[in-house]
Amino acid sequence: MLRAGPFSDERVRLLANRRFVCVYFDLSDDGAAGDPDARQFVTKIRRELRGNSVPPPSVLLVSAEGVIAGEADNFASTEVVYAAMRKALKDHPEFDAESAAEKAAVTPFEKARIAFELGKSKTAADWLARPETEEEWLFLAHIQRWRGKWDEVESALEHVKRDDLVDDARMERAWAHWLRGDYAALRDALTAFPADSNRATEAGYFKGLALHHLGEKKAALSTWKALAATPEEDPWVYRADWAWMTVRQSGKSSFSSGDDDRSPLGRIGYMGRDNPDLKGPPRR
Amino acid sequence: MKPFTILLLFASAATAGDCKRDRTGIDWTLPFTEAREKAKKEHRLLLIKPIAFGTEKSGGW
Repeated sequence: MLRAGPFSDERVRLLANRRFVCVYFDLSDDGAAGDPDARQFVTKIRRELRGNSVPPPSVLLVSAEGVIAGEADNFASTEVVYAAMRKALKDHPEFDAESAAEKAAVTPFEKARIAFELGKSKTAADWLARPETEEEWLFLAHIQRWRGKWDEVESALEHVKRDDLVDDARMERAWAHWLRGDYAALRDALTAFPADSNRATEAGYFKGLALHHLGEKKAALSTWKALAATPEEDPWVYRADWAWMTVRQSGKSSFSSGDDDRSPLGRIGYMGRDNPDLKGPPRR
Repeated sequence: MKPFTILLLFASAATAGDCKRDRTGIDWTLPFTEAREKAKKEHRLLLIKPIAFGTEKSGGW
């Protein structure tokens, strides 16, 4: 669930990549991702993870010396994981210093990108007060979308005309429909979205959501299932798989590898939270 | 919320380098010794996800 949920969220991903060194491992040394060094390090600070039966391990935010700066439950929501990451950095500013690359950033676009990735969206928007290129206008629209500034999103997108950016602009407008809960407009905005677009899986996921919320459940499931055939998995493929399974596994509380009801990506089941998008857009 | 509280470890015959990389876009640093050295050098916190459900060569976790 973590990969389809919090780890697929743009804010979590960007902050993780900019401020954390991320590592995963299997507590079983014989697992495909088994790593005895990691196991020894973690079980020293989390004794409950020793042995052959363990509680679902949390996401740990910890110094290289083994001091825990924060953590988030294995089944935590995106908001909880993101908040834990930000709090850890706030509580431990020694791990939040500018990198050499960040100090070397010169252009407003570079500075806006860094601020946005650190979760400082207003600062990012301020750096792009006077966009000079269509890429900058598009990024400003993206920032304003996360801020819920719909008029600013649209006014920025009016400057984006280039053919290679049209899909991005379409997707930003689609997000506005989603976050407003206007499912018919969301469906219409994503009709005939180019399959070779870099935003195609994202568009497919949201088209499925639009259909789901408009009562076209079978069409929604088909749309999400089709994404599993995408050659390169990505966060939207993961999230679509989670949505598919949330609908199909509704009411189930146990799973087995012999289950005929595997997800389109072949997963046995998603423990923990259901995909929250099936209840509607997040409240901001 | 599904009522899972305990997970059982199970072993796979695969080795660490075989596990298919995650595609969320998170820049995972493996193995752990490399991640720890990087965290020390760059003065960053480690974000560690221990997995207790068995990882598979196909990428399942």
